[in-house]
Amino acid sequence: MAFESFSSAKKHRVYAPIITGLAILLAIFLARPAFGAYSDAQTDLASAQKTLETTQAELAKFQSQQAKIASGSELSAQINKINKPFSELGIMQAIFLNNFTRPNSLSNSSPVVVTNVSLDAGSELPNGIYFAKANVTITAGNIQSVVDYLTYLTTNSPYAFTLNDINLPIDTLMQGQNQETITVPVTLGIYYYPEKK
Amino acid sequence: MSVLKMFTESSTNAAIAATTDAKAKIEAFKKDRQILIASLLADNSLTPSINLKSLVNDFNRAAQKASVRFQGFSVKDDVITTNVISFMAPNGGTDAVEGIFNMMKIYSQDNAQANFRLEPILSISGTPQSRTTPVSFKIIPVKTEAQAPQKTATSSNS
Repeated sequence: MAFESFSSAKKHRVYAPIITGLAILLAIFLARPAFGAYSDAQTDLASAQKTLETTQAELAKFQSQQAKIASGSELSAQINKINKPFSELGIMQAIFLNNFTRPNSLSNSSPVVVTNVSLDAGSELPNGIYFAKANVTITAGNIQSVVDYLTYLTTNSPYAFTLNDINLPIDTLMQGQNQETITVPVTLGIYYYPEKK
Repeated sequence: MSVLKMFTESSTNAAIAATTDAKAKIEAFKKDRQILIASLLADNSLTPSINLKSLVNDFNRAAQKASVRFQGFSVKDDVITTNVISFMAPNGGTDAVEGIFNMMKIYSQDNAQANFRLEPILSISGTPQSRTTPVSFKIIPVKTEAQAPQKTATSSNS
């Protein structure tokens, strides 16, 4: 009797690990496809979240620009200068008729005289904006008057003028002493953005 | 495991939907003329206007600071070109070229002053009493409002 129960216990010690091992293998076999599918889903989620982050960052930049424009700031004024068609009349008026070309009874400096203007409507740039040119010849009583006039055109006038090409007879040793009448040719650039038809 | 997979797929679909919505908003912004111009100003695609008055003032100050004479002022494609003339110091000194070297140290690549940076000088001529060289200064674009980060308003819940 005692011998028989001893043999039975020995059998359990042999069979139990084998059955346990088989059960584990079966579990792995059954669970592996499900785990693989979950792992793939996790990879897809990570990729989708990364794409979302990048897209939201790009959107945030545009929203930031919109907010700056809406605040009615200097940026808004710069944009309004560019966001208009090429108007020969408007551009010529800006160049010929302003406080620097009119005689100013309050100032001792003589007005700037624009002796020649020629416009070129230019063409569209790869970024969609158009770029025109204006060749202007200016005569003034001194260099400072020319500098003040051109500074006005490129900062406070209604059009987006840029300084493309200018040659001034400045000599830092003669600063403030050179009061001779000078004539200066200048090439101005003009950015504009017409409505597309 | 299949329940976890379902939740994960649901989150993925939500991210994809949010991305599609954001892309639609971006496309709408790209069609806005004002936004387009603002973006071009922000990434320096448009040449910024030079403030000629402050540029000339800086130019005159640069000559004084370096104790040299600038003769001529030409601006083209964001580069100022001029001739530098340096004289030997009244109290002696070895060579007038020292004035040009002084200017190079002040306005060199690593030590940009004012709104411009001195381009490399490759030739100098003249005598020990008076040296001259043509130089170019690259104008450094001033950061525009379009390029400045947007200040965010802070609010507190009281």
